[in-house]
Amino acid sequence: MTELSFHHVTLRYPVFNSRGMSLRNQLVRIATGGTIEHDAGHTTVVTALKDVSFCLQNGDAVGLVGHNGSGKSTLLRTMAGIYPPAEGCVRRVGKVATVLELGAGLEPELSGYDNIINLGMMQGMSLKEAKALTPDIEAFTELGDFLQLPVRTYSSGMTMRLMFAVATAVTPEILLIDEMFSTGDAGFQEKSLARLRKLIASAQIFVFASHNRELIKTYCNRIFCLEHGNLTEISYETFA
Amino acid sequence: MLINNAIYLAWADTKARYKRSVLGPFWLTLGNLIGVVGLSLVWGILLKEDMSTFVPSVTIGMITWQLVAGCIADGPTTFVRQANMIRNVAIPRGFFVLRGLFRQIINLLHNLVIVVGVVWYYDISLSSQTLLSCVGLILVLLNLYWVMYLLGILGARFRDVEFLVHAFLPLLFFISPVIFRADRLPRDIYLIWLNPLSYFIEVVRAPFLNHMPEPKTYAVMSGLLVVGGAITMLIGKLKGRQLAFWI
Repeated sequence: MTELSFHHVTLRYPVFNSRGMSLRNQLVRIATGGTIEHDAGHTTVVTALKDVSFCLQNGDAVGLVGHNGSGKSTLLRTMAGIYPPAEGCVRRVGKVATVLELGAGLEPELSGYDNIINLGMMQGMSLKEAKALTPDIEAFTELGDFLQLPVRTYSSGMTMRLMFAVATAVTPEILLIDEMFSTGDAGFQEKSLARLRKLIASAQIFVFASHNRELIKTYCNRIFCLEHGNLTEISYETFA
Repeated sequence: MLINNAIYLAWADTKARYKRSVLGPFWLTLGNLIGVVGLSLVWGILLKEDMSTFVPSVTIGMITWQLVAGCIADGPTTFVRQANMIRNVAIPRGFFVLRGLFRQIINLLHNLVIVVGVVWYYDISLSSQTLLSCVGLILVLLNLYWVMYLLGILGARFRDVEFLVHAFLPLLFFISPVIFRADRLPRDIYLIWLNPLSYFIEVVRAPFLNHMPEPKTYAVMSGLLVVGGAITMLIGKLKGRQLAFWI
């Protein structure tokens, strides 16, 4: 039973400027007994998610909408367990795969093949498993001989193909994808749509952040709207 | 599983770093060979040492130092370097430390070629005591794990740590018994034993040169492991969760 639920989750994250990150200022703060604390500890705290609650279960495909900076990526990272919530609790049952940032974990000097293995192993596969999946990934990406070239020569669309193929090679129970998914060309989008349909059909959870309404309408069955860290659910009919 | 993947990725890191060079990772060996030969010649002549004991001592000293200094120098960037991975996949923190540590171990393995060469050239007799060097090495590696972990957390939160560490490393080299042997110093330079890195080197080198390390060497190494490991675990427990926000 796959499940992803948030119970009154509030997430704050500290943004350090160069002064806040500096050891000298922390030391000065100790040495001066906090009198120049205002000057020393310049840390801005951003409340990125405010009292967010929801419950996702098998078969839920969520489209995440909201303007730039509304907290979509932060929400995805909190879902994945990368960011710890300041208040509330996150319940996550199931294996998570993420495609959040283009090029994350890729080694530009190594070939596409080497990177497939690297990415797979970073997601916790063994070398054997990663090698066994390579033909499947090879076929799915349609990158052909480009897989022998260093990844630094790839366009963003090609990088996207590679990352998406690896993330979905083993059907994850929870798949979280951020915006850049839309960089693929028409052919690839069609192909990934088919794969996602299969994924959703096998009763898993899928969360997809995007500004592209058409994509969200085709892929998703629930819509979450984020505004300044507040989450509201819109009915699919209203959205469409 | 975690360890296997860390080893593989450490090797991938090493390959990537030397990807377009002709000699590849053997630059590691060559670079240190040049260092060892140079240091042996210069200091051997300056200190009027017997080369047949001085060269093996410098070799083991240098190679152990490279391992220790490499970990300390890389420590503060352990997590920062992997920032985009940490922000994208939930992986246990220890994985990144292991990956960094294994990179240094791969360097060490390349350098072993030099040790083999020196053993063969000076016809050093290896005894069962040499095995104690391996025990020493394991103690060193266990200690380096927490050192990297701790420096990694500190380096992610306070970006000055990296530069601070780099500023002090050359100084540490001179007050650690890398080129010289601690037992050759006049008694009043006992100060050398206040430097914890002296034990890191002695615990590996002394058995190799058929000197039994003093019991205090093992005591200090184990003590450091327990105390340092505990401090690191505590800081990791208290602050480790925040790491994704810092990088």
